[in-house]
Amino acid sequence: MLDNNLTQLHKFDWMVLTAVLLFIVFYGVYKTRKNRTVNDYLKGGSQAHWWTIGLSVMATQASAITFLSTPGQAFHDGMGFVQFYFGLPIAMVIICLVFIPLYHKLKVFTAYEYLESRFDLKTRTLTAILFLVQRGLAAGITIFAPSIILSAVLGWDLVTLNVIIGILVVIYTVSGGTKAVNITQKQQMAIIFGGLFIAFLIILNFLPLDVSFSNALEIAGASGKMEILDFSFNLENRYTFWSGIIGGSFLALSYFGTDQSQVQRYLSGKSVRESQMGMIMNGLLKIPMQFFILLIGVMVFVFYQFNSSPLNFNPAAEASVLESEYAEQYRDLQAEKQLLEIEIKDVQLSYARSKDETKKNDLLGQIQSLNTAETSLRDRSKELIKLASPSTETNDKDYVFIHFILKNLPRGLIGLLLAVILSAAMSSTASELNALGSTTAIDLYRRNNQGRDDKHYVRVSKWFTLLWGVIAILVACVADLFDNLIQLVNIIGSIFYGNILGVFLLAFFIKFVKSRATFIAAIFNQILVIGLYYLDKYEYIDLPYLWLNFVGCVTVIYMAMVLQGFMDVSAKKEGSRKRLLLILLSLVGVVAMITAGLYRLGVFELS
Amino acid sequence: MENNMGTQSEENTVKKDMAKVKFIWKRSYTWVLLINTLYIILFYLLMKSFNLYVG
Repeated sequence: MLDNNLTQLHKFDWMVLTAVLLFIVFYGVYKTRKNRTVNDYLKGGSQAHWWTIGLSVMATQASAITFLSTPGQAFHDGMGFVQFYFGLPIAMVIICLVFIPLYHKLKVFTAYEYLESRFDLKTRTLTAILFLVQRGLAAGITIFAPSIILSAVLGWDLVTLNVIIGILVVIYTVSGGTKAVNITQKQQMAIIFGGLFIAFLIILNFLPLDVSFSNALEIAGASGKMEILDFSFNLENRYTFWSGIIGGSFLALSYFGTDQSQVQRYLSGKSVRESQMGMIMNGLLKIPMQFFILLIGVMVFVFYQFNSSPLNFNPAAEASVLESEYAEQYRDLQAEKQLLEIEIKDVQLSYARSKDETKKNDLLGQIQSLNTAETSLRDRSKELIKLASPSTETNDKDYVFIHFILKNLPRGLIGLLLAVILSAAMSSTASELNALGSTTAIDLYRRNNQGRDDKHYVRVSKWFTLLWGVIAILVACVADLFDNLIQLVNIIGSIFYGNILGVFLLAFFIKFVKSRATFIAAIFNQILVIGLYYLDKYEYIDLPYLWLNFVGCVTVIYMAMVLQGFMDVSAKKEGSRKRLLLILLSLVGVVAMITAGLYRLGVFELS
Repeated sequence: MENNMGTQSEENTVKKDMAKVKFIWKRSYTWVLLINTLYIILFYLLMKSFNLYVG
């Protein structure tokens, strides 16, 4: 086990961590050394089986932050976050039904390539560039996010860690392309699932002998951690059943259907059927997987009902307040918490041991008031941290699970769990670099430099992948200089994703809309969505940025339909007046419905 | 011929592309939706059994 400062990693952990990471890199390079053609490099030779695709899609989505942050989310706020994924299966079905058959038939290398055959070159280029900007930044953050956490708790140098993760990924992604990404993701997912399962069993084993799994769930429930579903219509609650089903469907559809880092995974399928089965696998396993990760977080919460925990899990935040003039006040809070912990432990044990329902109900009341007192102590500690160091992040959910791992797991397992986190970071980054390299090579370079042989395009794709790898490492290294860069990347994603999804939905489903109307609508819609974001930022409206995705998608579709309607009428096309009238009527209906809904939810008020 | 509605060839391409693809509903899609509904029902039951919080 580790010292209190969490910085000393045993050599056995180092061995496990190094062995796992090096094995993945060498395996990826060795298995893909015979890539010859563009199809080999960018689609893995179209040889992937459904389970490879399924695991690869899941590994791409699950970044290191999924494994660091999600248990911490459950620790503080309970299991409700699982609702965020409720729309995903619906999106998987739509992708299997529409997106995959079309992409396969047209034999495209990238999603944006399809838009040229459906619309025109400029629409393809616009969407490809929007993707490159958004995903290029996100790739850097995928490296940076776990690095900042690991460097804080382990004392490792942030820049060195960024560079090491980046270089490891670049080696096998540049060398082996899509196939290397796919096959290494299988190993990474095996390590991730294995590591998490072992961690779960160990947490259960650490609970007091007379606390069974069922007791542990009761203890979690008594503290409000088992509020899994929330059916209220409230925009202030980010995770509700409705935001999961509606917002989650749009988000998943845009991410899995139009983001090249995911599209490239299922384009590598042996056949349409294999690709569809891979996505079905994701649709069946994603919710249980997220539920399991959240359950780990809840079990960590139960564990800390019987063991001591810090007031704030972020060691940098605690250090900053303890070095400030507020140190004395903070120590008082720590002392208060220690007394509270003894009380909580006693009451929880009595609750777990009690068979008498009346007594249990009494204890339940006590547990709730003790938990309220503990939350209040944590809130007061955050206020002190903010006073001591206004720039320090007081939300410590990213640090809960890693703190538990480092303080409690046995030697070797710490190395394995760190390998889980770094594997997750590498698997997501690999898909992103692979997609960025492919999109630049195919949509921008090859489209404007045709007629060269396959070897040339493979070489160019490798160079572009390397270039994006360097950019991602640079973004990761400078990310620390900006406040809330992670949130900025999420905001950029929400601003662009809806527009791109809308263009794809127009392409698939609304056949009368042509390229010119789509392009003009996409440009104006992008300006509109950015405008809405700023209206929210300067508090003219209250529209959380996660909803920009949905709004951007709906508005681009309507804008393009109305524009095309007017173009058809001015060209005196048969039946165009009737169609325009229908579009305008449905637009009025949709606007009235959305306005009433937003008014009801308090997004704006009539003065 | 270029006009406000896009080119004639664009219209043909759209028709050709979409005609090539058949959107077939498969039984596995129904299973995905059904099993996920089952997950939600299970979550609801779990919540009813263990969520004792009155906050």
